[in-house]
Amino acid sequence: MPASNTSDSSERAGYIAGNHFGLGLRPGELRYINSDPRGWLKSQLDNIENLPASLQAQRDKNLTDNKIFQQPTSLRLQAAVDTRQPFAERLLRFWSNHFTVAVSGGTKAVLRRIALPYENEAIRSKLAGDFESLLLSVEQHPAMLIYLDNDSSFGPNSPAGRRRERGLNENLAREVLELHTLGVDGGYKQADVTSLAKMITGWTVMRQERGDRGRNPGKLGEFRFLAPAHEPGQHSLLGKDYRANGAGQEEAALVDVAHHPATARYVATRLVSHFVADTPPVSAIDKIAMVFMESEGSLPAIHAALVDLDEIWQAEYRKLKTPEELIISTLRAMNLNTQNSGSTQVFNSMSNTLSVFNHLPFTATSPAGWPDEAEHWGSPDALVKRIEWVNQITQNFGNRVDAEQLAAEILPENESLQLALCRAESRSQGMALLLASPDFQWR
Amino acid sequence: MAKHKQSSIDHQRRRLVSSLATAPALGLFGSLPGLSFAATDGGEQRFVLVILRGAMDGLAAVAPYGDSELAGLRGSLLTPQSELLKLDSFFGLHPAFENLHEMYQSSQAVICHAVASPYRERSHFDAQNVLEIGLEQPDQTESGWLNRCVPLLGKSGGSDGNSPAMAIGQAVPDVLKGESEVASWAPAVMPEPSISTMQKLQQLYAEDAFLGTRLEQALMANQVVGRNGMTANLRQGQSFGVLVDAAAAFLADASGPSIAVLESNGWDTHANQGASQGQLAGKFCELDWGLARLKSDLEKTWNNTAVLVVTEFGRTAAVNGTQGTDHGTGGAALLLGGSVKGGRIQGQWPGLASGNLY
Repeated sequence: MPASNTSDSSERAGYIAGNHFGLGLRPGELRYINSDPRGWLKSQLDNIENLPASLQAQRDKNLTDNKIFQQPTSLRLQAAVDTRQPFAERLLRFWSNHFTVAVSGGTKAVLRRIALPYENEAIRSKLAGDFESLLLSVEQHPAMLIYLDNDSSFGPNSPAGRRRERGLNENLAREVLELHTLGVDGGYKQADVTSLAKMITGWTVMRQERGDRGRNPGKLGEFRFLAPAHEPGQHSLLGKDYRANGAGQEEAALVDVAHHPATARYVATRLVSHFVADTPPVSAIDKIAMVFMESEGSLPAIHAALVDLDEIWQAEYRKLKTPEELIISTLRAMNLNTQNSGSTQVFNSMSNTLSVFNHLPFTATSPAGWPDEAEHWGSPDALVKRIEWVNQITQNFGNRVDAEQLAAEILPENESLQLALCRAESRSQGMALLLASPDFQWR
Repeated sequence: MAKHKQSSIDHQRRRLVSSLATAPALGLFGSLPGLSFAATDGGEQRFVLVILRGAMDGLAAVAPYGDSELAGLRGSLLTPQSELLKLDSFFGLHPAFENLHEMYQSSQAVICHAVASPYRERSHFDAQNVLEIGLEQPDQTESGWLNRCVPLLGKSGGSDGNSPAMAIGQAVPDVLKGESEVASWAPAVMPEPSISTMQKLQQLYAEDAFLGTRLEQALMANQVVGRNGMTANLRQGQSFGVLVDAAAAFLADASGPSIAVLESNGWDTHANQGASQGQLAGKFCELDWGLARLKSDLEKTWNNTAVLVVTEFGRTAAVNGTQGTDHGTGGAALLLGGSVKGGRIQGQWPGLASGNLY
């Protein structure tokens, strides 16, 4: 079907919009994307749905229970399968991975309950704003403060630090600079890490076990600025001095970091790696970094600039789907949702499935998050698992779909694949071949 | 196969259950007659039951090469005597059982041969039921003998969900069903795609330089794993390995279960059974590798562990018309572990002469 938009006259444009930027085409979706692929993508950037209905309902239910919002993996995945804003959902996952939080046990066990709320509260709600407010909301979220130990960091010269003989924990400050903003080559020094760590002392979490005896009132599980733990005095970051100003000191410092050219470049590199290629073309990084600086970190502007990267539309750039992306795009292609009889179990078993692929949300093994490269996800063993999973799900649900018809709706033309589908021994084998095919493993 | 007047393993097993009922303080094997156990180091004892479903061919697993009738009955299914791993001057293990042989030599394995349950018919389903409920006839009770052991272990099947017994596999087998709560764990097992699907995919992947090479590597690696060129059903082998790993992980945990039950399917070798290599050899390989893995995974706990490997009945001594064997009566069972006083063959060999066969 020819695209009407003159700038994307290629027949591939609709597929690129739906598969490369989105989370995989649903049957029938191509028809309305094709009228304006770029417009379809950009329309998702300014009014990102606060929460999909399924997640919202769960959240409200738990809020009335006065509990911290808890969300099972299956609903998170279901939201991505059901969404009409797949580009926005992909961006959410990108940023959630950029600002990784991973669950663990022991004193951090509460992360199991607040990791998913973190993604929705600190990230989803900020995607229509700018990088500065995203950064602040992420770094002040209890999940991040607990994950990177800032809730146990005390100013060595603060009243609480002296009384308890506790000191700095630099973990969060280091990752803010190394992974979240400037990047490891961003020109900061160890003194800057220490300095930022001092400035963010006092950023902690309301935890039940730390009764606050009426002072510093707040709700369990919320961010709390604990003034007595804050390191007093003036601190310097990247050559600039920040005067003692309570909680205003570190916020001013973080705002400056958020707008730093090194941050623009580092974030642009991560984005281009995700949206263009494992080896990101420098020209694309330059463009995104420039938009970042000119728009003062406006996320919709930056995200729209990704859509306008001609590289993506014109050249043969491709990314290997992560396991989660393969699962989401498979379920979208098969039009599976919880309304289909029998598919509830598919969603309910998602934690298991994602564990088999070593890609369970919020379990990345380092604060750097999940890798984004084909080398990581495309190991021989992992490919066999992909094929087995696709084979299993198409055996269960693939016998009512015509793979040849579906192929044209979700993938650009490929003669070998068409021939294979035409020769399939059964409908479900046809579906297995289509969804396990190399074409469907890439986006 | 061979007739055996005294079906020793069965008697012993039933006595095991009744001894537990009367003297739980002696521990799981404290009063088991005929089989004695090495001293344990005082740690908590562990018991693993491995059920081989489909009827393992005991004559292929543990060949009585000293029996003059064997070669004539077995024909093309006979593993050459020179390839057997000798246990004594009469019995030899199938060459796939390298690790079991090693355990036998280090006195950690007992081979029980020519044994059967009281069941004398030839239905897999009924025979397995008898094996698991531990009574004379099928369906005499809803509870398995290991489930009935649970209250005697003196461990609470507490509200924390920790039961002293655990089924490792997709379903709780009859042997663990019953009134006592048992835990279970199932791997996320994905079935293997058909050969035809894999071949068609291989063709498609051949056109993708990145993915094509990797898929070929994966398929080659799968072939390499089957030892001695045996065409083991690799994915089954892997999935048994997954069960073994899981069982070991649970058992090695001090607060974990004392009893684990594992199952292995695919032993019903009616056709093309093979000899030193082939279908059944692949199954032996998988079992042997699994037992070795259990030992290495359990590490220190191994010294307090007994593993019992049983199957519902044996197979015919004679080859059938499709290069396989049919349902029989007497078969082989294995008892191994660090707490087993092994290196012995248990049971009386009745001989393979036609008058001795069921």
